[in-house]
Amino acid sequence: MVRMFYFLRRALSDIGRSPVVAGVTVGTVAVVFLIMGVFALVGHNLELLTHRVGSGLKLSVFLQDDCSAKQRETVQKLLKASAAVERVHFVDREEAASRFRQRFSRQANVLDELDENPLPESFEVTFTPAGQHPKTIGALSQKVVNSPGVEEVLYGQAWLDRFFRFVQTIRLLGLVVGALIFLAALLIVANTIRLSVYARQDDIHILKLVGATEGFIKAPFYIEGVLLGLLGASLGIALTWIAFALLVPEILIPGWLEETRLTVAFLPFEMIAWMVGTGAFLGVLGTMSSLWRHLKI
Amino acid sequence: MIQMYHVHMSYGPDNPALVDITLRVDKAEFVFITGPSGAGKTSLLRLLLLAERCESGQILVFGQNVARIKESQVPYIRRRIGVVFQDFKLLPTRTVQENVGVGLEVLGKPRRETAKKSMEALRLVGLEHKANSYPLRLSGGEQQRVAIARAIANDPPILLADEPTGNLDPVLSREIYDLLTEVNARGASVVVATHDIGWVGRTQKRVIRVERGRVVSGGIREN
Ligand SMILES: Nc1ncnc2c1ncn2[C@@H]1O[C@H](COP(=O)(O)OP(=O)(O)O)[C@@H](O)[C@H]1O
Ligand SMILES: [Mg+2]
Repeated sequence: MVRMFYFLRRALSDIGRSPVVAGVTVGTVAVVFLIMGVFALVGHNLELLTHRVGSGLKLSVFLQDDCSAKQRETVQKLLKASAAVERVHFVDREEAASRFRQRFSRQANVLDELDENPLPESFEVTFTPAGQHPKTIGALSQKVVNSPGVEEVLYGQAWLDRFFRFVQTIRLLGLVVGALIFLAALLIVANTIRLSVYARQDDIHILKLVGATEGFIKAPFYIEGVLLGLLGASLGIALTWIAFALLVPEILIPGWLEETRLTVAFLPFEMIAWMVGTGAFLGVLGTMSSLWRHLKI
Repeated sequence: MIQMYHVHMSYGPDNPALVDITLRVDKAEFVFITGPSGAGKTSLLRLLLLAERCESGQILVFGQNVARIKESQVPYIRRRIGVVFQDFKLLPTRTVQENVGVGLEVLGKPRRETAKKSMEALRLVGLEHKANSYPLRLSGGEQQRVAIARAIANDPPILLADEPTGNLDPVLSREIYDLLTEVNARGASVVVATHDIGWVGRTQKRVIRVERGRVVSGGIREN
């Protein structure tokens, strides 16, 4: 405990020795986390949107006219085997017809004029809350559509696929940009620690002579790195929040989002915790690379 | 306390610094290591400090063979060896008292205890009134006394001094030797490397003479 305070004091005195360098470092890290935060924000809201889109989704599996009872059973088993599926309802020709009449009451007599009921049998599949994801539904439909006896599977795939590809692209972009700027932040932190190491050369030399262990000499630099990372990440998250609070009502709401009545959410607690953790990790990694190159013990 | 048997050490392949060194320093003994410049005195002390490693031979410090000791164990040996240099090696940005306390800091002692012990050491060298000064405001002799206070603050059983009076005039040198003698009288083994033979001759201490990397006389106490 005494040691912890001692290390902290030394780390703070290193930061205090060159407040401008520390300030620029924290500022740069903050900008990096602001960019990450915006990507996370967009990604998070797209994810929420995806779930919303998924929540109304049903899968209709239409069977061929000559589908045998056995084939039908196979399809039903296949559907029920999926953990995402909540209920599988079989719609026979009668029910299909009565639904048609209900839905299109004005044209109902169209059916009566025909000798035979032309409507196909189908399975209507609803999903569990966790399973209501376009990705899951898409995967299941892929599986079912190739079973013998199945005519067609419908769930509005075309625009969902497009939406999905869009989300994936955003996510990939976020990952690539995030990795690149994380690397930049890493270099900045490492450089700041390098300056501290140089400023402490004499201290380190004396400390070694009087029997300081490697850990004792290195610990304050790690604390300094972690402090810079944490401060930068916190500031970045705060900036993200400010950007969110200022921009979202003005720019996003009047557009298409209002019409679909979607509220834009800020990052959830876990994501914020993750980002703060990433800040600390950044500090550790930056210090490690700097000490590895510049501190020979 | 210190024993070396057939120790060889070199800086690179064709640059032997110490050749077949055998010597012994007893508990609470005061010995000089003398010899011309470049003889290997500093190298010998650096071996004892484990700042350099030997190629062959045995080095026993506190009865422990440190010649093959693991790097991670080095700090624990150093904590029991005080060391003083010709150029003092004080930290200019720290006060005299903080400089003296640096060896106690690494032990993780509470601040109050560090302050108390460093004041005691400063009193011993007669500089408690300079505790809050910065080293560069002090004279050379005073700076060296601060360095000695730092070296003995933790009561090490061994004190090594490399040309401790090299930067000082004869009167101040005398003060430093008196101080080292006092440290020795309090029970520490003291090893002083110096080429300042004139003064050494007048003391009654044992002299280990080193020339071109070899011990030429006085390696083992005769009696
Ligand atoms: N770091 C070093 N690298 C290479 N050679 C060295 C180094 N330090 C000392 N030497 C050589 O080792 C020999 C002994 O030096 P040193 O131990 O400093 O002698 P002294 O202290 O007696 O003057 C000298 O020849 C010196 O040039
Ligand atoms: Mg020398």
